[in-house]
Amino acid sequence: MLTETVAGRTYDYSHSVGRGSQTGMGFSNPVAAAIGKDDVLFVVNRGSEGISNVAWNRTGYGARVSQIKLGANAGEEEFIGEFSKYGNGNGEFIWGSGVAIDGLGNVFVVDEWLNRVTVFDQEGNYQRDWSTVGSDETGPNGASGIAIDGEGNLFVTDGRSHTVKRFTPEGKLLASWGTHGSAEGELDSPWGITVDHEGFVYVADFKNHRVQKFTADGNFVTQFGSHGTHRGQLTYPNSVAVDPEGDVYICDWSENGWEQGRVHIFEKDGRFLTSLTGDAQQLSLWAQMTVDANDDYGKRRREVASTEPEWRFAQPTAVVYDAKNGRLVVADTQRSRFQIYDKQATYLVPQLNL
Amino acid sequence: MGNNDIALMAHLMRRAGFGASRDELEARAAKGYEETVDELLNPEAQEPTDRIEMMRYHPWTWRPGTLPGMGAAEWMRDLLNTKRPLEEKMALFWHQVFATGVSKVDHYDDVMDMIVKFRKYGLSNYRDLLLEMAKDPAMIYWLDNCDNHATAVNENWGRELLELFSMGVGNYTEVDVRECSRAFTGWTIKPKLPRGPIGRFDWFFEFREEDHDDGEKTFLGETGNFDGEDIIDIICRQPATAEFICRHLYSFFVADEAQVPAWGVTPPRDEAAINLMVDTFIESGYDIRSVLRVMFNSDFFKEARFARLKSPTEVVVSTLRMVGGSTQFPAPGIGDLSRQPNYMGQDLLNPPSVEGWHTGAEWINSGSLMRRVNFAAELVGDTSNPGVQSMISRLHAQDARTPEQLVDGCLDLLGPLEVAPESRTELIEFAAEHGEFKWDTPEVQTTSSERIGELLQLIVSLREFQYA
Repeated sequence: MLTETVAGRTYDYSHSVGRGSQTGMGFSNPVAAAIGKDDVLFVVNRGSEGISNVAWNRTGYGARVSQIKLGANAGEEEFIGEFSKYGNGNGEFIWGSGVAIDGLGNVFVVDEWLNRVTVFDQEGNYQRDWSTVGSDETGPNGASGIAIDGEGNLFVTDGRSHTVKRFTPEGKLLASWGTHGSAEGELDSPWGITVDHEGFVYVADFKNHRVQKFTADGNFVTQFGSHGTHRGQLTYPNSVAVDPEGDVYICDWSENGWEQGRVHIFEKDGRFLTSLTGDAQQLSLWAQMTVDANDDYGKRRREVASTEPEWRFAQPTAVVYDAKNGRLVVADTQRSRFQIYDKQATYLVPQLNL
Repeated sequence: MGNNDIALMAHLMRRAGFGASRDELEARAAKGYEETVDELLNPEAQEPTDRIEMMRYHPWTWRPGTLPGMGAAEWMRDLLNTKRPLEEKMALFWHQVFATGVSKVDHYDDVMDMIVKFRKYGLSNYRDLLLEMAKDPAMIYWLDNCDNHATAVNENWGRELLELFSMGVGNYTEVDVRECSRAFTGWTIKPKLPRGPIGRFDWFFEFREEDHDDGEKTFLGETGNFDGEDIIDIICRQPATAEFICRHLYSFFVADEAQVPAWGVTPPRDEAAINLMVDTFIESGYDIRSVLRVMFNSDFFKEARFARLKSPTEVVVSTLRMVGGSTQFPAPGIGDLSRQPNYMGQDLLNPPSVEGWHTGAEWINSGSLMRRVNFAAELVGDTSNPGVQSMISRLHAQDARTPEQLVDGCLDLLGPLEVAPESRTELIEFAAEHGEFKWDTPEVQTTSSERIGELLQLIVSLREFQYA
């Protein structure tokens, strides 16, 4: 359904933005996103390997950070620009996996192969980088998710060493918590991370199939979800966002063919509200341009029994709450697009006997 | 346990899998040969490879594009990491038999779906597998059964079903081809959403009754209102089918045979072996697992060491599994690794034609041989690779010092490999260039390790290393 009202909130599907593209107006396996100044969405595109017989750090393409203005309505999206590319040099990344933006508009991109954070200014100019591997670590930690709190502290999840680290913006390690396991406070391949307006830290505990909530010092507070595919259960949660009312949004995948995914919505106290499964019944502006330019695409779309398979999320990997505009932005990773839902508090449900 | 036990186990693991480390060979030899055969034939007891790592770190492998030619990346990762080696080897075998390629299908994920079916049905009942293939979207598109209509028969699938997937030429008539094809009219695929602009979607089989010729057919001497399933039942009852499939199995697992098109005029290399396998195939109701059990436990299999040239995929996968290292984690570069068999003549998921690859000596030409040698030499020459370090540690533990000890030790750990006497002499001369190998200090250990790496590089350059 396009519109769903639950417990006094209404989630109203708005539109989608994007199409598959190695550059420019579109995305290539977008896995992380953050909203910067002037409503610009910064998108980390994982890209793909595709170049053989070259050095290991030159095999990929499509990897980049895209800058997009989403617009308020369908068709208003605007491509602003893009920066960075596949590689291990300054300002490049191999496996971009997380992005966060500080109060000055600086863009922090984390790379889970190179285990480092790279900082760009809001125009995409390379500023600096640092390794997230501590002196006490013996191998790569797979730094994968990143978030910034109201005081400028950086929180980074380590997907391969199962920890959360807190840094200064300059990269000085302040604190670290978490060990490999499934008990409260323990982690298994954590990925997405966010900080709410009260300073609590939420971690997508990927292989434990839950989201854990911590204090900024790493003390366990509570957890959301458990492993499964029924209502309120999670399968490989990879990203989490919290809105100003405290509602928690968790992005996950489905093991069934890996072609579906959901965004689960919980109340602050952990009560499950609903799940979104993707509602892109119309193509985005840029996707429609591709179809219009390929006559056979248009013909085939009219021959299929239903376009419903393309409405749904396919491995969504990032969920962002746009507090300024009151909307949820979901990276529909395998469909190389974003699906946008407005959150409405004043929606009037029409009478049922219409 | 004797050296022969290790050599025999190494032979089994090269054929039924992609080789094994010395530690694994010793453990399996201690467990027993027939017990190992049973374990290999029942892969369900082992965990499958976990797809989540690829989805997380290489999301592009879910529905890869066709132009870069890296759609076999996920399969390569499975080949390198599987704990079910025979299941994966059977997938490779059936991919060679039911050769279907992305060059025409143009969707790697649909061809890869066939590999998943080979894992599921490859060790089970041949009839079930044949039926799955008849309904497989990639196969239907590859052999034009989507253009096979009640009012306009297309014989491509029907012909290849008889010629290449079951009986072989000479065992049916042109009328049989026509009648067979009529039975599969209406077996087609649903239109799917196009790949642009937001990625690829699944294909599904569809039976269109209104496009099916339900009339009477006479096929291989039997008459009835046959549909495709009836045809497959009749095919499976033919002795020619049993002979054809068993000859394929023999050629893939035991010893190189003539190429398939020559089978009608060239007798099997070992007729008694084929007859034993055929009897098992028929008596077991077309059960592939039963045939393989008899084959692996037979004397003709055990005596066939190094009677097959490795396929490019075997060269790549067995060498990488031997040296270990970064393949344990889906590191960047898995796409490039998946291309390596192609550079030696075997483009996975993209065979040259429905006939599959020509095997045996036809794998070798001047270009492919250099690729095979360079690929293996580069990996075994890198003494930081865990598998190479393990070999060095064993030689160190044996206190191997003389050139003869080192050469024999390396040949043992790389196979055990049997080489021509003159090759062994040349290897010893090379190893002797800098005198005895020393292990007394860290410095000389490093030097000895490097010399062993060079020696391993020479050995994998020998003709004998190209055989499995």
